[in-house]
Amino acid sequence: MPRIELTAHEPYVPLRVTDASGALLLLPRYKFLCWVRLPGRAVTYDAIIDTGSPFTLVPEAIWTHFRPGSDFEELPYQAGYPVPQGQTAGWNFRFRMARLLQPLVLFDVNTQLSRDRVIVQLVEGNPPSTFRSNAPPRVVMGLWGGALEGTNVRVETDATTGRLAGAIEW
Amino acid sequence: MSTNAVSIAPANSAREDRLRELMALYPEPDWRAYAADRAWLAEQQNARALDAHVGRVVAAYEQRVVAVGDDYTDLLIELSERFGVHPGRIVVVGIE
Repeated sequence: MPRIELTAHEPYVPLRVTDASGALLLLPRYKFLCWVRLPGRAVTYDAIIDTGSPFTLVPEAIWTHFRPGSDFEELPYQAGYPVPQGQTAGWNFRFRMARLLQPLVLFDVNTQLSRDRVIVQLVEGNPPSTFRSNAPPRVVMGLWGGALEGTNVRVETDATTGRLAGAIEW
Repeated sequence: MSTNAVSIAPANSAREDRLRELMALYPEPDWRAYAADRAWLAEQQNARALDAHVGRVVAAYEQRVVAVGDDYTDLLIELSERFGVHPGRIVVVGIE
């Protein structure tokens, strides 16, 4: 079964808590990252797998390089439809929907997963960041739209290292 | 286009122009090599080896840190020119 290994990213030191016996527990704060290529320019972006996100979310700093008509087509809201706001932790945003006309490609060191005509959210603005630099924000790989459908997201503990490990399989 | 549409402002700066020139100059990068470097850099992050650079951008190429800076685009340009490779071959990530 083809699979893409997800990178268990631990940007923060573990939380330190104690249990009823007083024993110290170190609670890791993982995020699963993968690498994604999008239309527009041949650079790779970090992406985060978030099955709690309804759609795949592309921040403005990234989609501003997309070319309308060749990289994506807008899916305009129906006339009179009250345009909703999107929401994620600590951030409310406006967005429009679009269908990518070039592949979205997830990959790891060994395997690529190419998806065509993925429907995404093009988000106005970028998520809050602690970066002083202008590093691109992460793409959020959400539940619906063609990026993750037909895959299994596997989450397990590596028996050797004790670390969380993840993969997308299909 | 909806009334709520986001305007698409093409990036016209000289730096963006230079980046596009470099992308046109070199063949598209080997995704396996990029992934290997990106995975290596993630290991360094998890090992807390990059904590001194929180908030900045760190660049990796051939499994070593080759630059630290404050501007993503500047690093892509500088390192593409230094190593003679497509800018997309260089791993440049923000450290949180």
